[in-house]
Amino acid sequence: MRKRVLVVDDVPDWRAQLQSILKGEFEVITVDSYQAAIEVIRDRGAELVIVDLRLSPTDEENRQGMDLLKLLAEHRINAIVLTGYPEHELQEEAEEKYKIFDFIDKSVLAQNFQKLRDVVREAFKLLEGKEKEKSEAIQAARAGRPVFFPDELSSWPLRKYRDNK
Amino acid sequence: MTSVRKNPHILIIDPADNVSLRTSLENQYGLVVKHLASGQTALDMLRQIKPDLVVLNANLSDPPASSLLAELTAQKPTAPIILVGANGETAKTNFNNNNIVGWLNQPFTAAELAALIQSALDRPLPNSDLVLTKRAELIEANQQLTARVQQLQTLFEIGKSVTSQLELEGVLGQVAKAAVALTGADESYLLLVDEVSDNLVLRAEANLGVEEVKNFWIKVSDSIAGQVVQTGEPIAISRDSHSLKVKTGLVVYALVNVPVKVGPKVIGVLGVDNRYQQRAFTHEDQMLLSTLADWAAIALQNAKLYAATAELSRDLELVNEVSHLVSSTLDVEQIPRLLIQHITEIFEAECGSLALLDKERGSVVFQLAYDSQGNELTSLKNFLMPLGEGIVGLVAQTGLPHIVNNVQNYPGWSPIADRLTGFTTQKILAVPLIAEGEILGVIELLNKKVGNFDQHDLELLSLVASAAASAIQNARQYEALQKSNEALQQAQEERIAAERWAVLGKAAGSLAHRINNTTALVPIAIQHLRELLQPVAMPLKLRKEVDDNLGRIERNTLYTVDLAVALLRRFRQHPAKAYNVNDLIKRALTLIEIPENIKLVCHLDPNLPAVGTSDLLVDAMIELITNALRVMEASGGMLRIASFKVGNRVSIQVTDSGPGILAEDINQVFEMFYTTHPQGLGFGLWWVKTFLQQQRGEITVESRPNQGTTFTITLPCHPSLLPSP
Repeated sequence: MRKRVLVVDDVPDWRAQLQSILKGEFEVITVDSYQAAIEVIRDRGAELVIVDLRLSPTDEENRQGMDLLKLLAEHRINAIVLTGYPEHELQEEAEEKYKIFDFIDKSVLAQNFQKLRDVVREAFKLLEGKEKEKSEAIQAARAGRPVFFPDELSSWPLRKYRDNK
Repeated sequence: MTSVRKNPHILIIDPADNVSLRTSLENQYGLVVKHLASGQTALDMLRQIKPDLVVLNANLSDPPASSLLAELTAQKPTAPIILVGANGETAKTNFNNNNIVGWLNQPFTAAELAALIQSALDRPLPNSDLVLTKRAELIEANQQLTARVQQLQTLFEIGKSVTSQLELEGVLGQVAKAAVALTGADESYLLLVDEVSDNLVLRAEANLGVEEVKNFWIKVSDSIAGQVVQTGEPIAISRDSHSLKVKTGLVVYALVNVPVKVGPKVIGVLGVDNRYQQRAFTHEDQMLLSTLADWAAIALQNAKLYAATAELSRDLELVNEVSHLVSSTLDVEQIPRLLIQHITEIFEAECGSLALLDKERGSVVFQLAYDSQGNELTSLKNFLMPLGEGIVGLVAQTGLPHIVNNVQNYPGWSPIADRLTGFTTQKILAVPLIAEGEILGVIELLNKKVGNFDQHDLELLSLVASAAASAIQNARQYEALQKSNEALQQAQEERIAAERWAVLGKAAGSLAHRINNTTALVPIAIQHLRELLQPVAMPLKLRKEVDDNLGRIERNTLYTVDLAVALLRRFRQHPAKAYNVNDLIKRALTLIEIPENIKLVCHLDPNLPAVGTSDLLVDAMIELITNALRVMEASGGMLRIASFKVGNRVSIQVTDSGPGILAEDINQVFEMFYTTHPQGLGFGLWWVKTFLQQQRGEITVESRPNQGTTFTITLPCHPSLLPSP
């Protein structure tokens, strides 16, 4: 399975830094805006998106990031929030409404940068597991066996499987 | 007074007796004529004869006429002398005598002599009996005039002093003295009717003697003076007068009593008597006495007016004093105390009290009571009397003052208060406190020490009460104003605190986010760099130096990030909820590791009411506890955490047994970036204080060197005081 991560952050240094950290293990695409993110997803698809909530210096309410999360949720794409605005309400909204996989505070990440890798790694591991289950089910169906497609086979939201572990 | 004799006596001294002349003078001219031939005989008989005129023969020789003339003049200086047998020249030169009133040369007729005699008698000598008599009359008249002038003078003086002297006793004393002076009496007295006892009371006297003055009073119904009072007519009696019944036991010889009247009303008696002189008084004495009595009446009226004025001005002074006293403070608690202490003393009551109306309870509530020594009668404090009950309740209900001078027999009186205090009420003066038409309460005075409470006391106390009532009203309004002011100020302060919190929160948040979004990248980059360098071969020494450099960069950058995180966390949105502070303390304690060298002692009140606050209080507790642990880090010690209720507030205390804070530093501990700890961010206590201000709470610190430090947090616990989220 292709392990491709889309990083959405309006600050070039952060995009470069995240890419630098993750590129050894994952395929990393970086974009600087909501619009660019949509284009990438539409054109090339995405398995996991790392979203900064404030996508422009004027976006004080962090709505652009939240809008992106909404769009991702609609397209059943898992997202990780990485933000310098670790506000309780935002985290709650992102987790409850848009079922994001994780919410990472940049200042917490500063204590240990490995955490990002760990989270992304875990996400792909779960995604792989789901992929596997899904393909097995498809194969069984093709083989003419009766297949029951429960919700559990969906890879979204990933968060559910992590919490159930 | 001597009167002139109807028929003048004429003495003729002549050696020759002219009988026809004599007869003619007697019969035709109505003269009594005596003839003496000898000069010596004439001198001897002069005293018996008492002649009105002497006719002397100038040629008399034994003794010679000139010496006889001198003798005559000496013995009877008032008798005029007519010389016969001489001419004018001879008379003047030989007989230089003032008594010679005329002369006749020989021969002369009876008619000539008679005419001369007649004219001499018509012009009496200056020292003649007639003149002397007249002069005596004049002198007497003059003396009477002088006496009258003196009387008038005395009366005038009295009048003057009556109109100028306003001090009653002085005027009355002068009237009494004047009565003696004007009537020549032995004694005088001025008695006034005492309206209460209906007795005549001595108010002034002259020569009466001290012993008698002291207890001098007479029953109106049973005395001469009383009779004067009853009839309004003067009475003059003496032992030799039979016109009136003289009381047995009248020890004086004579007396006059005249009424002292104001209009038709007899207000007293002015009297004089002669105790020693055996003399009755004349009608004139009585008239004089009446004049004096009038003066006394005027003086009494004047003095009464003056006294009323003086009393009024004294009253005004008192009212003024009380109003000044009660308006000198706006403290509503102080006014009643000052007022009651003052008036109890002034009205000479045994006890004074003040009760205020409590409309909600339909009662008057005693605020305080003082005795005349200024001691408070605490048993009456807060005693409640239903409206309409007892005199105080009655006054509070009706707004009408009451005087009861015999309460034990008064049906409206309630003995409850007496039972409470052990006081025995006899007389009550109670007036309402009314301001702006509203009954505020009642002032009550008990047991006037001398006499009864009267209308005047009532009027005066009412005046005082009205001054006091408006002062109380003022103070109440001031207090209400002050309270609403305070509330306003508090609201203002809270608004400012909230605004400050919001501004600080926004600034801190903005700063922290910026740091998160920029500086947080540095440690990440360092850590990644370290990872990237790991497989790179380099000399050990170089690697160490690179690692050290990276470490310093990371550490210092992380400090900045931590600060931003702390700021962000401490100024985050924190919805207010009802918390039991004990739970928040316990939550804080689970987040902190207590070192082994520190003993933790908790005294948490299990029955604390809920406090409206946020979970940021946990952060505040963490701040205080970590501070405490830090100061005891080296030497160990005891950490004491306590919670307790104070009124409608909850307090939390965090006490360490550390070295304490120096007095000069204690005011700085709440300042931003003040820290004594190298790794401290220096805004912890500042933040705690800011947070608590926003929570309507407060934090205080007490510390003494080597005796530790106590921080006390206080928060309001009334749910309605919850700050809006």
